[in-house]
Amino acid sequence: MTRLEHARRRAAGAKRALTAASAVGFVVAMLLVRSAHPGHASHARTSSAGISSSSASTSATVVPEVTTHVS
Amino acid sequence: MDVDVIAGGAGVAQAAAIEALFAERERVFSRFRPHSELALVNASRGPLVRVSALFARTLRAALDAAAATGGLVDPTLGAALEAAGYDRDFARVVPDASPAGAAAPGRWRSVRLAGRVLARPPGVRLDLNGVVKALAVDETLALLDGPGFVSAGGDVAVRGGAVVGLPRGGSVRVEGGVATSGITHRRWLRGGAVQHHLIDARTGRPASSRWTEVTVAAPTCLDADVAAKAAFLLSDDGPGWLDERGLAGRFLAGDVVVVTNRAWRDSVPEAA
Repeated sequence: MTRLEHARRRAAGAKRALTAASAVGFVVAMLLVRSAHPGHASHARTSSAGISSSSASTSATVVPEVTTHVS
Repeated sequence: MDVDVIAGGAGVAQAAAIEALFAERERVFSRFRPHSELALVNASRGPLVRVSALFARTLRAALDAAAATGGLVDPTLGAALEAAGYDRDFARVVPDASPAGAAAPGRWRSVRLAGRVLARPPGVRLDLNGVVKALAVDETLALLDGPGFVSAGGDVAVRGGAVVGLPRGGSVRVEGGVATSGITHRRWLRGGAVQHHLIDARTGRPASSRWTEVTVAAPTCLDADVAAKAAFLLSDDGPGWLDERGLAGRFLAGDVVVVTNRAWRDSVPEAA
């Protein structure tokens, strides 16, 4: 195998690794956006003047993002 | 409508718009603000009243809800609530030894709305809180650009799916509306008897039901809230009534017994 062929194989391997890494990164980013989005919850009380941001749970699987209850 | 509002997925400007909308509904529909539009309408002695576009739209939704539930969810129960002792902000309702006032059955069929002109018999006192909060939740969800949710006092509307916690534990994945009605919170003593805010329109008195809380999942928060009240009032017939309409219901009896109807078991996935 010539030095040129070695270089071509190294370049092709690096390209495959980059493609795989990009795909993983994309999936993770989508999951983060999907689960974090509703988690940026703003709370207000209708009788109060102000509204403040606070962090609710960001889990999209077990911990409820919001709860229904009798009021 | 003194409730906590939670908006998931809202930016700063959207959160401000959501707060403004709820504040507006409080100003217009409060039973306890002497100058709210609702209070002025109820105080008016004229046979005809011209109301705002918002008031007319909300009353129309309330009359539609009454028609859809056969009068179970009735917008003319203001006098019945007052007779039971709920005549001020709930935080200020205290035990009262005097007996409850005269029963005031619902009279929704006597209410006429033509455009923005309202006609109702003398003595009919409207209470639109059966629909105001849920409508506001649905309308504020529409202010969000993308996925998110709005919750007001436990009435929830979701776009894009969310995990919603349930009374007494458990959680489900929901798209659309979820609401819970029941008598575990707004209860008080009047004349030595327990009173609550879910009135049986047929008797004009607080209703008797097998259930303490009913949770419904539906396409919108308004649909869910109206159906939850109706299913509570129907007692044993509530689960079947919801199934006939393809609506999912979860019923609590006391603190521990949980009953779900067929639509809930088929269509509401538990959050794993």
